[in-house]
This record gives sequence, structure tokens and C-alpha cells, in this order.
Amino acid sequence: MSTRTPLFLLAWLLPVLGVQAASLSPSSLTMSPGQVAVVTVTNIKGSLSMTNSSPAVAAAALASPRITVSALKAGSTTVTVRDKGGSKSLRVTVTAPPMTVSPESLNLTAGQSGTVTVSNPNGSVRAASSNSSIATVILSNNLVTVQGKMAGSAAITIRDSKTSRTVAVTVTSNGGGGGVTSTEGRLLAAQCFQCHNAKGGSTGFDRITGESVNEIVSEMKEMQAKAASEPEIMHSQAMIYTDAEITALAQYLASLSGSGSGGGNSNGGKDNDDD
Amino acid sequence: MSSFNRRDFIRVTGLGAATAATGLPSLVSKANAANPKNVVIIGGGFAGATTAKYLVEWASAEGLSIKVTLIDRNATYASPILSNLVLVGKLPETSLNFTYAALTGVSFVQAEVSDIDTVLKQVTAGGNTYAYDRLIVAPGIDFLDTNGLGAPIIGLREAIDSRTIIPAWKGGTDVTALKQQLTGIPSGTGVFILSIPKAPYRCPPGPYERACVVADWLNQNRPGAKVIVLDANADITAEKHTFSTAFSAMGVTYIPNAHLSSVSYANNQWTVIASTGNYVANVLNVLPRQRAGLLLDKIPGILNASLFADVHALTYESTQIPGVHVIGDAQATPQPKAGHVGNGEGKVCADAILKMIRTNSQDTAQYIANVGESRIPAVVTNSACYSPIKASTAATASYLTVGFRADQSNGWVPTKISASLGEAPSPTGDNWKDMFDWAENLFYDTFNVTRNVG
Repeated sequence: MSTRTPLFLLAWLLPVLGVQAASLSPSSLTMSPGQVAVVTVTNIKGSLSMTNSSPAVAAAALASPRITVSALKAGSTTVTVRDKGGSKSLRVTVTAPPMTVSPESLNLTAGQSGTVTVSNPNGSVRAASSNSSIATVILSNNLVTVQGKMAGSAAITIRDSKTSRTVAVTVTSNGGGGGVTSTEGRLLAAQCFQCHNAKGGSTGFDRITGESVNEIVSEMKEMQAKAASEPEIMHSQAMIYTDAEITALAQYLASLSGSGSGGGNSNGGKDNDDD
Repeated sequence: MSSFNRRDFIRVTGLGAATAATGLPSLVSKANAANPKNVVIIGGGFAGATTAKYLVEWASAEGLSIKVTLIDRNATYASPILSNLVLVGKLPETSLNFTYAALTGVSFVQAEVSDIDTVLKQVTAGGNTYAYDRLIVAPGIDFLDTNGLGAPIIGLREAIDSRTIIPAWKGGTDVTALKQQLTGIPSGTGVFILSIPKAPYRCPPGPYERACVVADWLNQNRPGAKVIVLDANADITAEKHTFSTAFSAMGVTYIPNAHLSSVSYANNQWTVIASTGNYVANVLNVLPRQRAGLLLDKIPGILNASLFADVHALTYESTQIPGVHVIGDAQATPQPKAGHVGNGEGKVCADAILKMIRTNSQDTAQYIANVGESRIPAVVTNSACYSPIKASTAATASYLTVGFRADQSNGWVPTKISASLGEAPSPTGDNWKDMFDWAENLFYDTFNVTRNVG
């Protein structure tokens, strides 16, 4: 008998002789793309070789006794090691990571916008606000733009095909002097509705919905300018408001759908616009 | 942090209350939906009905869950606004009656309130109990027997009880009854006396307006009959230029500083004894001195020495009784007692109550602390009204308007904005037409009813 016994004969015979194959720890892997795991090989007999069935799913690098597995994309692959004791396989399953959003809470002042970044969405993404009077959302290219409307709290729910995430939004008012909140605009504008109803009543006085912010502001300023020289009830009324208040009520009125009737003057002569 | 989000964090750790204390609105939406706040409003006039309407509308827009109950002893509200036109036959009485049917989302209860318990926070009316988180009382005005000097007017109470003197200052059937009295005034020698109480009273220009339209009616229907105005005030309290000019033109006798001490009826005429002299009349229309609606006597301590309710102008919450708001003619801010501004107060109150709910504030002081006083915008209201001067042929009207501002700098006291004070330079036919536009819009804004009156 020669001294060089064919290895395969030994491989054949070894189990019969009670010799075990190497062990892998951990014995299986579930990973997300980008993750890296280290597998330790023990009970190695002789030199160790390794194969990887789908290297595009996860890369495997052997530096005995360790195998470094790098997850690349969703799928599965089998990493097999071989030594004099036999072979051992390790199944690597790579799953798509869950969607995450950042940040998970937003503090905005009324009128201010913030963005929430959506990462790893699976399938199509939808975003909704629990209260659009407090905060609204616009979704575009995995970016959710959140706009604070008025003081209060709202929850933004962002969903993909597998999961949902919530972003808590707190909107605070702008503070005295500097700006006005949208409910202030709403309340100021409501004080116009005794005479200028947005939705019904008489058509006699000028309609105040369906105009732009600039149109309302300039009409109010024009009436203020005439208050001293041309006495009229609306000229006096216009003198009530500061510029910031005029802007606030104009913004609210301009935001209404303007579905009210009116705009003409049933009495023919009266026109508060003074054009 | 996958399924455990910030809302859970706040609920578990109780940080919701803490955020309220730091001035940020607490996250109430989920808890609130399960526990809607009860807001009970007693009194369905211009102030009460407007508050009910806007509470429902704005709570819905904000996603806040509230239940609004409006209680009034009558199913129909008779508007005092424009009622002087009913008095002189220009409008039918029913044209000014409004129900609450169009106030969607408001739960209306027709019942007399028998008890208000501010400890248990419940109202008893018609045998039922209505629990409240916040109570709004808008009972309007009621009459006193005393004159502007605090002395009783002998004979007045009996005359009003027996309906021989009919103030007709609350609209409705009383106005028709007073109109009937006018028909008994003879031509030539007839006299109509209007007694105006010491301010504050409901509708500052109203009495002078009545004097004008009655003078015009008498001129048309009872030529030679006269109007005498006995005014407890030192001067015309509103639109002095308009009314003094009209009185001159229409031959109305105006007596200021006139305090009544007795009224009596004998030999088909009234005798009025006043501080300025004795007078006789065929019809005596006494507008008694006024106080907040008697309903508020069910809440001890809520009325001030003048028998009106002091309130915070930011929320209209009583300064004496937390949790109870008083709006309209019954509250004691410097704003005039009138439907147009009462409607505006209702809007301020509705907005404030929603904010108090949202910030978990039990009273106005807590609300101010929670939000931060410097961050609260000024409260702005406006008073406006048109008065008929001549209602027969070539009809004319005047107008009056002024704005009020309450803010941190003036201690939240509604203060007249002088630059906004406006009075019609003269009564015109255009103003007459505008008067109907104003009233119709106000009726719609308050009751959601489109009513074509003029």
C-alpha cells in the first residue's frame, strides 16, 4: 500500500470510523441587506474549503476558522464548508428590511413645514394625517412634507405594503406680535359673517369669499384710507383691524371654497369696493 | 421603536398633562373621541344660538368630539331686531320668528331650566338632567321696578303684570300688543310717551328709533298726535346727531334726566310723575331698567352689584364661577347689549371653549397659563346696527358701528376702538335697504335660516 491514500476514500470511511464533520455556529442566518454576520467553524479536520451557492444574495469570505457573511439583497443562499470530516451547510436568508421613518416626532409652528424621510419602503407608500386642521401631508419620492396649520396635535401615519409607522406632530401657535394662527384668522373672519355671510342669507353686501389674499388685503387698506374722508359703515369697520389681523382673516377667507351666493348688490347702487 | 410610538409613551408615562403645563396642547384626540365633552347652552337668542352653531362647526373641523345641547323655554325665538317695523305695520310679526331646526348637530331641548348645579355640573330642565363640562348661559335681560336713582316706580310692576304697560322689548307677541295700543291714540290730542331707562340697557339706539318710527306713524295715521321721550340718561346714548336731528324734524319732545317715580291710569289716560315734571299720555311705553335674565339668580354669586355677570373677555367665563360662561346682554363687559355683537361674543366663546378643551384647561387662568399670555392673540369684536328712522313713505334708516379690542396690554377688557366709531351722516334710503341686508345676513349667520324680510 502506498502512503498517499485517496482523500475521497478517507471521506468515505471516516463516518464509518466515527469521525465528525466540522460544526458551524450559528447554524443558520436571517439577515437584512447590508448586515454582516460572522460564522465560526469548529472541529476542523485538516484544511477547510467553502462554497456559496448564490453569492449575489450574500457574500461569504473564509478566513479560517471564521466566515464573514455580508447580506446583499433579498433571497437565500447556502454556504457549505468542507474538510476531512465531511461537509456542513449553513442557510442564509436575506429579507428586505422593514420600512422606517425619520424623525418619529415633529414640532412645528403654525404655517411651518417639516419633512419626514421614508427608508426601505416595500411596495407603494401612503401617508395620512389624523387631523388635517392641525397638520397636512404631501408625499413625494419617499419624502413626506408635513405642514403645521394650527395649534394642536396630530398623528401622521405612513404605510407601505407590510407595515405602518406613526410620526407624532405637535403644532404650536406663532406667538404674540410676530404672526397669527389659522384659528385666529378663522375667528376674525367669523366676525365679518354677521353681514357678509359666506354661505347664505342676503346677497346685498359684497361677497368676501372667492377672492385672493391680496385682493382682500388691498380692499381693506383702501377702505381704511377713506375712513376719515368718506363715512361708510365698512370704512369704519376696516379701521378695527391691524395689518396682521387683516392678513390673517384674508388668508382664512381665501382658503374657503367660496361657495356662497352673492357678489352682486340687490339694491343696485351700493358698492363697498369704492373702485 | 417599532410598534411603541410616542402616543403610547405619553399615555403610559402621563406626560400628556406635563406637556399641557409647558404650554403645548396635549394629545387629546384619541382620548377625546371616546369621551366627548358636553357643552350645555341655556338661552337660544342671538348669542346662544350662534355659540351652538359655531361650536358644532368648528369642533367638527378640528376633529374634536363635543356634544352641544341648547336649552330654551320656547321652541321659537322672536327677534327684537327689526321689531319696531312690526310695531308700525311694515313687517308681519311672524316674519321675525325663528326655530333652531336648521342648526345641524345641535341638540335642542325646549324646556324651562329649574336648577343649575355648578358643583355637580348639571342643569335640570323639563324633568331631565344635563351634565356639562362647560356651561354657557345666555338669558338676555329682565326688567327691574326701580328708576335710575334706585327708587321704585310706583305702579309699574302691576301695570306690566296686567299688560296695560307693555315694554315690548323682547320681540314677539308683545310688539303686536303694543301696536294694538297705538291704534287707540286719537288724532289731534293723542300722546305717546316713551320712557327710556338709565344705561346699560338692551340696544342703545333702539328706544330713539322707536320714538322716530312711532312719530312717523302718528304723523301718517293720527295727525297731530305727539311723541314725548322721557330719558333717564343725561343725553341721547347713541347716534346723538341722527336722533336729535330726527326729533327736531318730527316734532318729538325729548326730556333728558327724567326719572319716573310713579305711573297710574285713570280717566282713559296715563299720568306719569317724573323728576322733570308730570305728563299725561294715551299710551305709555315704559322700557324698564334692566338686569341680566332672572335665570342667573339660580347661580349665587355670578351677578355683580349692577345685576349683570362679570366675565373674562377672552373666554366669557364668569370671573366668579369657573366653568360657567355668560354671553350676550347678560354679561357685563363694556360692549353694547345687542344681537349683532352678542352673535360675535358667541363666536369668541365657542373658539375659546374649544381651545380650553384642547389644552385641558379648567378655567381661564389655567388656559392663559397653559398657552402663555403673550401668545394669545387679541380678541376683536364689532357692534353694528341699522335703525329705521322713517318707515312709512320715502323710508330711511341710519347706522351705527364700532369695534372692540381686548388684549394683554389692556388687561383683556374690551375697549372701544375710537377710529372705528361710525354713525350714518344722515338717514338715507340706501341705509334702509342695507338694513334688511344686514338683518337677513345676521338671521342666517345665527339660525342658518334665509329669511327675506325686505
